[in-house]
Amino acid sequence: MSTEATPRPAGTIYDLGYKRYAGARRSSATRWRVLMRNQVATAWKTWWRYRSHLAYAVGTTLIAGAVMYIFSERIARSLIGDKATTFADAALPLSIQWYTRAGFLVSLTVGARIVASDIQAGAFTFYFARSVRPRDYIIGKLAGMCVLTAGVCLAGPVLLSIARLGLSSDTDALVHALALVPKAIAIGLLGALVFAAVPMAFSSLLANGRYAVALWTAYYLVFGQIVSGIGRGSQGWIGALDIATSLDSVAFHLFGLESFPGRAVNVAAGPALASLLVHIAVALVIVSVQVRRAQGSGVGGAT
Amino acid sequence: MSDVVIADNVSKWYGHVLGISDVSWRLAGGVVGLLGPNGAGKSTLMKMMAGLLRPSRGALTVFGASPFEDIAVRRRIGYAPEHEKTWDELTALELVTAMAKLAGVPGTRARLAAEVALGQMGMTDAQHRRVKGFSKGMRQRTKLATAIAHDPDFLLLDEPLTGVDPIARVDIVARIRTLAEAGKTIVVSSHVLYEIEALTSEIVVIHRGQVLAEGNVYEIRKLIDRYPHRIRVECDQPRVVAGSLATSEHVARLVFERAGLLIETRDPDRCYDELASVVIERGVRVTSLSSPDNNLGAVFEYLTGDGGRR
Amino acid sequence: MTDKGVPSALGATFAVAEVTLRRLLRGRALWVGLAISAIPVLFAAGTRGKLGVSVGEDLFTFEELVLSVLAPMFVASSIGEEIEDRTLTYLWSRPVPRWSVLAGKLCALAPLVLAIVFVSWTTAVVVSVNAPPPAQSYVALALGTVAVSAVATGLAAVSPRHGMAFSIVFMLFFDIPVGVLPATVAKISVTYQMRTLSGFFPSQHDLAGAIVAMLLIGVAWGALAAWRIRRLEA
Repeated sequence: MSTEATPRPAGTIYDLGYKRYAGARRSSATRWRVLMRNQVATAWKTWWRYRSHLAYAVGTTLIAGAVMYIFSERIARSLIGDKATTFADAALPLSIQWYTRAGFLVSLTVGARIVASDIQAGAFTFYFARSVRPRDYIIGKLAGMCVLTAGVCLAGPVLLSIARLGLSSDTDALVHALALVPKAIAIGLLGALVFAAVPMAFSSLLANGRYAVALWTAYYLVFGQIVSGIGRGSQGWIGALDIATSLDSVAFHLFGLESFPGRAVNVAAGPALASLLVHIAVALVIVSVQVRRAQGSGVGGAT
Repeated sequence: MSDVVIADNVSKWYGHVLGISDVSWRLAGGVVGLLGPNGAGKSTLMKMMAGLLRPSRGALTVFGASPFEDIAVRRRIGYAPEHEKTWDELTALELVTAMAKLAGVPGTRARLAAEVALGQMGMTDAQHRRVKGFSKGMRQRTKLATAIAHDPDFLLLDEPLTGVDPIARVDIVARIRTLAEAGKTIVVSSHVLYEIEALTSEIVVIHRGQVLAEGNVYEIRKLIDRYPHRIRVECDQPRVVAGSLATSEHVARLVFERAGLLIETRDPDRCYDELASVVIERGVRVTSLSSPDNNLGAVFEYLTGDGGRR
Repeated sequence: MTDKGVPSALGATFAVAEVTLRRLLRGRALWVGLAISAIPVLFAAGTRGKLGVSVGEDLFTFEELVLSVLAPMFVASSIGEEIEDRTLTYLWSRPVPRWSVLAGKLCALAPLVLAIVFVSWTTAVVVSVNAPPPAQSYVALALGTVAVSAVATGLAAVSPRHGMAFSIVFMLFFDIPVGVLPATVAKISVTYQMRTLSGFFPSQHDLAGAIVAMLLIGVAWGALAAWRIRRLEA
């Protein structure tokens, strides 16, 4: 019988049955889609968060569509000043302000909390412990918000523009009216982007969702009404700083209703468009800086 | 003396989800461990006793009154919730003082009571620091201090040891034991079974919203017929012991192990008697005698492991 | 060592108020509130001397907007935070009437909102016209603050998690638009009554009615909050 001791192995790994996943992995360039889908799914979950605002936008579409159809040939002179415009042509641009309200409501219940809630809940630790880059996070969240705001700001105007095509009396009118569709898409996209990006920026500035909502509301409504009022009185470009006024102005100029005596009077399309684009650009820069800073400092760990 | 808690056919629904189902239970006093898997209904029962939830059906009283409706009875209850979120902006002393004031301790004495409570929980040195900067263990101690500052008669401690390091656990268990020795009725909910064992042998096991077992853990163990008791004997003559016990009716199985013998028996008391006789008569040298499953962990596993079947 | 008495409702209210105020002063909400209240001041500074006789009306309207955001932000948010953070379990397991928690928060936060709004209003008017505002306007803002805070409390009690958002939406999309309607229904609007009391809107001059209306609105929402909070579970 051998008396030599059996040499002990230096180390042993036991197979516990766990097998590392060896299949195809999603490309890191597409991670943002996961966040986008998650964002949309979360917003869709409850009535108050998104669905009620979508219902509001649907109602707006139905009412504007009904006005467009029922009063199509009537002249909307009393509303549009001295330019003779039928309700069929006026309903769409006039409805933009109502879609703007829906966009604001979505920004209130979803957009203004979007980054702050993640920071508060410690989700950054969850995201960035994985191979999610800050840009994946930003693009994913922004894309998700754009999908949501497009649902209320873009879908309705596009449907109304298509409905307007149906009211064309002949082929020439139809061809002439075809231009409405890309215009509706343009104004809808602009609204969707601004109501996605700007509240996100406010959300990234504060780590508390509620205060972010309050600050965004104060900026959009209080500051917006102030500068809008100044713009009406002074006939200057300052009214363009109000997002709602700028959207109205761009819409009215796009659809040829420049003399509309509403809140967008005296705000030219150029400054209005520039204001919206600057808002979006500044917002994206703020979000980018804040998210990278939070990711770099390891913030977002819930206590 | 009347029961501290009387639950009479109590049920609680959260929408369509059943939290507690038809629970009838009485707590006379002492320290009771409330055990159960995650989602069993422990916190629901705790919250009902603390007056935070109202039974959907049935009645639950504490000291003879409904804690949800009766303000005065809540004066005698101290509740330390499961979650660790508190008012982080306050210092520990400010937090516990505020809790004491809200519990009815007069303003002038509330601060003193808070200092005493924090001292009892070993937080004197940190009492002027903001809760925001506390570790988990410090938060748990502060939470416990808020529960005892107003000298309640009935303590509800929901997972008081969660997230606490081993040294702090021993300390907190000792402090809870001190409170129990002072005569307070305490219900402790925990997943850390051996520490519940260190506190009490009286348990209530909840499973899927129902009380599955209650009473002394060893008595409960005896009632679990499905799993014979296991006794491990490490000795120099395991086959002699096995041979003597093999003919006994109460012995279900004998397993020879490296250092001794594992006996499975349906009557552990009788088995121990026979074992003692064999050891003395045959001169067996026993180096170790233990019961691997006569403990809370085994009882818990046996009760809840097969979906609650005994 | 300790008495076994139950705190009085007033004592509980003040205890909650003390804690609420202490937490607020150590948090960031105050700074956000001050930033929001600075907007009318910036407007006044930017339009100094350029506005006509309607300067009082314009500034007061902007203060109403500020109040419509501040009161929900402080009051409704405070209640909602307790629910979300589950710190309400500490309060409701104590022997205090449930309404005293709301009352305590209101006692702490409404005066704070009022102070911020007063400072904002005074500063904005002084910057704009170099003279203090009329005393009547302060009465309007004070009663308005109480009423809007009551609205925020009521909505927070109905929907604790989303009380702030609902309060802001209610004020900005219901109360203010209803208040400018040329109909009797405008009288249920807090902002309408505030404008009546302010003295800047000569067409609205039923001062006694405005005071009664605002008190009634505050009491109604407060009663709703008290009723609702009794049934809420933590």
